[in-house]
Amino acid sequence: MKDNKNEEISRKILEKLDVFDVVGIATKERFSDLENGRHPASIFPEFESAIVFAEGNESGEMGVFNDIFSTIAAQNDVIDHLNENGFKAIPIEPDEMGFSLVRLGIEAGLGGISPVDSLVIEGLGLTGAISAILTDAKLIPSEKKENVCINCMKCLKVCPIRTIPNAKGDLSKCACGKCVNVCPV
Amino acid sequence: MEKKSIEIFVSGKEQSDAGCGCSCNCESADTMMPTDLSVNFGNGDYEMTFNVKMIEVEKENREDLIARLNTIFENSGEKLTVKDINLDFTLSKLLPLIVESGKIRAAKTFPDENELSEAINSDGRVKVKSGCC
Repeated sequence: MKDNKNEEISRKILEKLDVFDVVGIATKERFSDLENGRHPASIFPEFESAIVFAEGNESGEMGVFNDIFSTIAAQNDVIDHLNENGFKAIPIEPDEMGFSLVRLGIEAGLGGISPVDSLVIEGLGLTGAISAILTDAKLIPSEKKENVCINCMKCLKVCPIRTIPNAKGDLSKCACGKCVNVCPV
Repeated sequence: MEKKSIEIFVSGKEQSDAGCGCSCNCESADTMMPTDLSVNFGNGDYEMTFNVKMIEVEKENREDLIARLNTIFENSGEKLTVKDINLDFTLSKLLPLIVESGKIRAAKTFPDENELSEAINSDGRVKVKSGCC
């Protein structure tokens, strides 16, 4: 019975977030390899599921204003929906996290990893602006995506901080955005 | 002629940090700060036309702020409704918010006085600056 309820809640959540280009759900089992501090539970101890969503930003701008308001409203709506069903939910802020939004996106089936450690999303390349909501609800996970990156290495060729795929690099010098412009995915 | 009112909703953090006021850490050195906009818009050619008021959200009464924001959203045709539980999150995504005569003219960006003036004159909004999240 509870599974049915969670299935219904999961379905509604995905529906409510359809203002985003891609949406997915990852459950905590998918993060079992992460140590404390890198795990979503480090900021939300009751963590069971992550709802992850992204919007393409191909023009280099966040887009028209209505997008900002409707995306905030959609996130508030999802949090309300979870609260009404007795669950806790928190939106996450990129600057307060010790864990990776890219990893969240991969585990939620939004896309794959690129050679420059960004999330590659089918149809959006590396342009995705990602955000997420963590909850203690055991939601139904989305299917993960395989082989989204076509390994053309165009992003790596223009990357000022890496010459080897997925090498660490000096992230303080990572702000040129060249990889975003060349990704053909 | 009656002066139009411009309200600039900011967080105390934005006023002290370098950068454009968004939370993307772009730290663009040449972007406007809310105080710059307030000073520029309150002087010169614009002085006669506008009253500019800075509103630091942390110093406002929460209930009043929520009611005020919801009125602004409604006047501006937005479906967003703010409540106590989502106020902080909503503000973190929207500020700085610039409102002219009760209507939203800019959010998540600090325009310069000319950009803001253009948005007001065309009854439109300032787009988020490229490079900001």
